[in-house]
Amino acid sequence: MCVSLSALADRPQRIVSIGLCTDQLLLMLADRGQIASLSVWAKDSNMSYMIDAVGDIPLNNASIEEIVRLQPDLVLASEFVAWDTVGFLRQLGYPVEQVPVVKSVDEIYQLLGSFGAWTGNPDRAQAMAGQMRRRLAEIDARYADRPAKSVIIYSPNGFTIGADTLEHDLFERAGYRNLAAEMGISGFQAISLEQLVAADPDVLQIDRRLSTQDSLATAALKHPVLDKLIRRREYLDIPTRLRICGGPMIVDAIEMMAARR
Amino acid sequence: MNLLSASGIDYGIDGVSILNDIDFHVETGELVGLIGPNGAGKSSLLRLLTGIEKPDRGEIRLEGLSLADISPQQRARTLGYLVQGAQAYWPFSVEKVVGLGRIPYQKWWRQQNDEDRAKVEQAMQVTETLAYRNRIVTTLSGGEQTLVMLARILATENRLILADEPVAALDPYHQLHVMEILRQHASGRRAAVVVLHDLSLAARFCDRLYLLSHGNLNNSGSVSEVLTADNIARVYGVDSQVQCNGKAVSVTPLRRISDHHP
Amino acid sequence: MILQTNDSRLLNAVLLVALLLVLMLAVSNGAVDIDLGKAIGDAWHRQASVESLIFFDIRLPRALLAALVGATLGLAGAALQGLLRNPLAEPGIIGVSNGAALGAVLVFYYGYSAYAWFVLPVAGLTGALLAVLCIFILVGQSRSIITLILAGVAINAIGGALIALALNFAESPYAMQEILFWLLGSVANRSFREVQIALPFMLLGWVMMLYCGRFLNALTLGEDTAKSLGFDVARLRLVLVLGVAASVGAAVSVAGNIGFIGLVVPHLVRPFVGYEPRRLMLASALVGAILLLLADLAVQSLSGTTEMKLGVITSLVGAPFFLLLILKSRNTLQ
Repeated sequence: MCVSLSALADRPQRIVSIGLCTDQLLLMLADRGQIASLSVWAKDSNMSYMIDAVGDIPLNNASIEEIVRLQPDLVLASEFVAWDTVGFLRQLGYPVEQVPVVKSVDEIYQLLGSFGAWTGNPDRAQAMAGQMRRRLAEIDARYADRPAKSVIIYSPNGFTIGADTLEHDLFERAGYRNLAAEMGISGFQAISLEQLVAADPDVLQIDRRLSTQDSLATAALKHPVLDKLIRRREYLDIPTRLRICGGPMIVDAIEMMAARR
Repeated sequence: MNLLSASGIDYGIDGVSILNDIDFHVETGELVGLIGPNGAGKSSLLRLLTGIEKPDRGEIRLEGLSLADISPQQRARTLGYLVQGAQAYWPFSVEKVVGLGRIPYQKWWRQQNDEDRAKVEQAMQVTETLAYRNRIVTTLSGGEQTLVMLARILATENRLILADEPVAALDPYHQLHVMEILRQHASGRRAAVVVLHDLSLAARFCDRLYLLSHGNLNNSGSVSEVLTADNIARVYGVDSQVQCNGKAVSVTPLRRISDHHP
Repeated sequence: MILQTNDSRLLNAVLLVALLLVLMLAVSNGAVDIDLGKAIGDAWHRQASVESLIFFDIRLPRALLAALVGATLGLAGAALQGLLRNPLAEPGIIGVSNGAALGAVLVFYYGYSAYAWFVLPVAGLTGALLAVLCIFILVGQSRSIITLILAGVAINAIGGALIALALNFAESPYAMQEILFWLLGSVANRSFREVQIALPFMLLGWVMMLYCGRFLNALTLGEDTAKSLGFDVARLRLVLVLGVAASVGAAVSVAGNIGFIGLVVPHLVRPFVGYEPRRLMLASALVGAILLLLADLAVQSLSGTTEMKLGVITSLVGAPFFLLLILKSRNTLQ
C-alpha cells in the first residue's frame, strides 16, 4: 500500500512509534490526534517519562502485522532496534524514520528539530529546545560553587556506562566525573565487582531498572559488599525514566544530580 | 548340640512358591550338604538360614533364639555367608578383602587393630593364600578367588558357615581344597552347610544330606540313606551307579531316564 | 599401579596443605591488583578500605564457595560410584545436578526463595532427590553400567527442558539468558550469604555420605554379602542418597550445575587409596575442592569482559576424560 510522498508535506495524521524514546518525543511534540500507536514501553513505569500522557492510545509490540493494520503515514523507530521490521516496512512502501541514539545533550537539540519537522510542529520543538537551554544555564550557575564528585553506574549483569553516551554527558554537565570513562570505557561494558569497589566512587548509581523481579542479573546489585561500600558514601537514585531517552526530561536528571553534590 | 534349626518353612517370591514346609537342622561339628536339581530351592533355603531373607511362614532358631530377634551384628559374627560366584567389584588387594571379614567387630572410629590383623593373617594361612596377599583379587583365578572369599569368612570367625555352591567352577585341586577347609571348620562348636551339585563331593565330605526337589524336602539323613540309586533316579531323573570304596564314595550318573519330568 | 597403603592419613594431610595453598592463591588473584597485607591489616583494625572489602567480601566468599562446591561434587561422585558400583556415575551424568537446578530455578525466579534462607537449598535438595528417584525407577534391578548412563541421559534431557521452560515463563527478562549459569555453573559475584545458606546442608550431606564408608567397602562383595556382614542395605542406601541430594542440592542451588568434577576426581584419586570406597570419599572431597579452585582461577584469567562460566573449564577437561574412560573400559561396560 503506497503512500505518496506529497502527502507527507502536510502534517502526518497516523504516526506510529515503535520504541520507548520515540514514544516520549512524539507525545511531547505531536498533537494527540496525530498519534496512531505507541510502543508497549510507553506504559512502563520505570522507563517512560510521559506515562501519564499515554491514556488510551493503542500500544504495539513492533510487529509487522500490527503496524500494517494501523495504516501509518509515518513510522518512527530507534536506530538500532528492529532492523528487519524497518526494512520490511520500507519494502512495503511505508515511510520510516530511524531516530539516532543520542550521545550528548547537543544531539538532543538536533533531535528535537527533526521531530518538529516530522510531526509538522517545528515551532513547538524550537520552544522546547530554547527552554532546555535556559534551564541548563540556570542550573549550571546555581550549583557552580559545589565541588565535583566522582560517580559510577552499576547495572544488571555488571554493566557500566562509559564515555560517548548520553548518561556520560549528563554526568559531566551536572558536575560529576564519570569513573567508568576514566577507566577507559566507552559505551556500555561490564565490569567486575572488584573493579567497581576499586574505583572507589564518591557516589554510586545503581540502576534499579527491573530489579523488582528476581534474577541473577539483579542479584549482583544486592551483593553485600555494595552496602559496605556505600556506608560512607551515597547512592544516587536518579530515576531511569529521566535519563534513558534523549529529551527535555534530562534537565530534571541533571538538576537532581547537581543538587546532590 | 543344635546350632541352627528351621521348622515349617514356607517361602515364595511374587506369589510363586519356592519352598514348602521345610524342616532343617544342623548340629555342632557337622558338615551338612544341601543337594537337589536346579531350581529345587537350595539357594533360597540357604539365604533364609543366613537371615538376610525372611520366610513367609515357619521359624528359624539359632542356638534356641529366634533368628529374627538376633541383632544384625550378632548374626554377622555367628553366621558366615559365602555367596555363589563370590567376586569383588573393586580391585582390592587380597589382604584387604580378607580384612573386610573383621567388619562385624569394628567400630566406626577404629579401623583395624592388632587382633584384626592377627585373625586376617590366620585366615590367610589356613586357606594358603598368604603367598598372594598383596595381589589384586580380580586378577586371580576362580579357584584362588574362592579361597580368598573363604578366608574372608574365616577371618570373621563365624561359628556356622553357609556356602552356596563354592566349588562349582573350580578345578579338582581347588575343589578338594575348599571342601577340606569346610570339613576342618565343621568341628568342635562350629559347623557348616554347603549347597552342592557334585554328588560325589557331597557324599565324601558331608555328615548328613538334605535332598530337595521342587521346593519340597524329598529325603534327609546320612549319606548312605539319601544317596541311593532310587532316590537319585526319582529326583534327578538319571540312572546312576553308587559305589563305596572305603572312605571314598562316588556317584556316577549313567543315563537319563526318558519319562522323567524335571 | 595401586598404592598398597592401609590408611590415608598422610595422603589427606598432604591434600589439606595443598588445598590451603591453593586457597591462598585464589584470594590473591582477581580482576584488580590489591595489596594483600593492607587488606588483612585493614580488616584486622576494622577499617573498611577498598582492599579489605575486595579481599574479604568479594574474593574470600568466592574462593570458599568454590572449595565447598568442589568438595561436595568430588565426595558425591565417589559416594555414587561406590554405591552403584559404576565408574561412570556422578551427580551430573545421572541427572541429579539438573534436578537440583530445576528445584532452585522454580523457587528463585518465582519469588519463593525470599521467604526464608533455607527455601533455596531445600528446593535444590528436593529436585535432586526426585531425580534420584527417577533414576532408580528407570534402572530397576539392572546392574548394567550402560543402563544407568542411559537413564541419566534421559533425566538430564527432561531436567534441562524443564529448566528452560521455567526460565522462559519467569517474570524477569534476564531469566532466559541465565540458563547458562544453571547449566554450566559459576561462583562469580557470590557473597557470604550464599555460603551461609548452602553450608548447613552441604555439611549434613557430607556427614551422611561419610557415615556409609564401611558399608561401601563391604558392598564391593555384593549386596548379599554386605547384608550378611550386618549392614541394613536398604537403610544405608537411603542415607547415602539423601546425603548426595542434600549436599549437591545445596551446592547447585547457589553455584549452578558444574559438571564432571564428580567423575574425574574419584578416578584420579582411586589408585592412591587402594580403590577403597571409604578412603576415596574424603580424599575426593579435598581434591575436588583443589580442582574447582584451580578451574575458577583459570576462569578469571581467561575471561574477557564477560566472565566465562566455570562449567566451560570443567567440561573442557572432563568431557575428553569421560571419552577416554569409555574407550578404556569398552569391554567391561556390559
